[in-house]
Amino acid sequence: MTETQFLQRLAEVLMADQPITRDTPLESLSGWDSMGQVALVAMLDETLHYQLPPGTLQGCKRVGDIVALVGQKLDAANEAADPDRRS
Amino acid sequence: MISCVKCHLPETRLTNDDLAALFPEWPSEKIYQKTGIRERRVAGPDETAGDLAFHAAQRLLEDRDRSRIGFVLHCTQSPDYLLPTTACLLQNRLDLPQRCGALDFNLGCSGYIYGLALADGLLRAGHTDAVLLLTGETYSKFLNPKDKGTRTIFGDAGSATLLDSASPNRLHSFVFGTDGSGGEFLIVPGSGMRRPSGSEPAGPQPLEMNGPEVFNFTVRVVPPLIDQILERGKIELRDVDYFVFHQANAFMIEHLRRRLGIPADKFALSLEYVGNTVSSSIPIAIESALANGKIRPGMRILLAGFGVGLSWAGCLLDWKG
Repeated sequence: MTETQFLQRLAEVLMADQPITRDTPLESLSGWDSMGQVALVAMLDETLHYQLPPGTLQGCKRVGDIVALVGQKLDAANEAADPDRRS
Repeated sequence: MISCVKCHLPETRLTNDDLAALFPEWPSEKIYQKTGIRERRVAGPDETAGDLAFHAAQRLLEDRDRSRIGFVLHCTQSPDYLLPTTACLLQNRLDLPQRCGALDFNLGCSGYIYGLALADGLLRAGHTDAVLLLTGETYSKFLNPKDKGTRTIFGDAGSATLLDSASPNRLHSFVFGTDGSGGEFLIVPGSGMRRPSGSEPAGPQPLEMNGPEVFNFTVRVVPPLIDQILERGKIELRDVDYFVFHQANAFMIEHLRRRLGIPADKFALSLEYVGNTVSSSIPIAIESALANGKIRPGMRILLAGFGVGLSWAGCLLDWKG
């Protein structure tokens, strides 16, 4: 999964009205509640086989914080194609 | 070892329509879609976990010789008293012999499996020939009436399981796990001697549950738990005829089912009309599966409990009938 695809999935799970970027504050998304976070945990496990380290969700303020957590699981090819990528 | 399982539910029903009337932002059908629960039972003001366990045990012992029971184990986090031990009071209420040992143990969603392991150990060691394992929980009394998240999930219930050295239904391949660093993710602050910080008054505060972290914990520990049980039993996933997981909520356990590749028809889903009944959820699922023929003689069953603590455990049950 590329970062673009991941952001699309994330937007669906967190019920974003418009496209999201790494800078989008999570609090601005209507789906960023406990049910949305449960759905996020399921999506990360299902699509990336990634399980969050305990206690990391509270520290996530922006979409980019989630992308940074799963970064190594996203396609390596995508990194080269995305010059703006920040770690 | 397991010879019989019976459960008991309090009378009062809390339906999704009841909850939707209190929390209009969560319509009845949305609650069902997100949790797989349509209603849950709630203990009355004077009804305790001990009462729920008592009634389940009365059902179980109706036609049985009570004098054979040499031990009562009672799993609860909402005991009738801090002291005396609820299991001691139940020895008397159930008219069990005075030579009977009795103890409570404090665990939640994993508690039934730990109880099975304790009972199995007592039987194998030859301390007694019959153990009565009880669960009773009234989480509803811990909940903040305004907390829609926990009120939609938890239901009250009790269960009674008879473990008998003469029963051919063998328990084996137990695996246990604990991660106390996640204790805060499901907690009733002030419920014991440690007072909550700040200016909060002494005494129990409402139950606090960090649902996403608890779910995150289950996706982390349950798949390896299942692998370890299978490894201990020297069998493959396909060799298991039926899976009974703690009925946390349908969304969560269905996710685990899919991730593990368990066929839906081999997987217990029994929370629709009871909710998450904590330590009673596995015995409720077993009683229901025995009644509707999902568990039949000759089957190999995998049981797994996981939750508050954080604590987890599982085992295999060879059901001979």
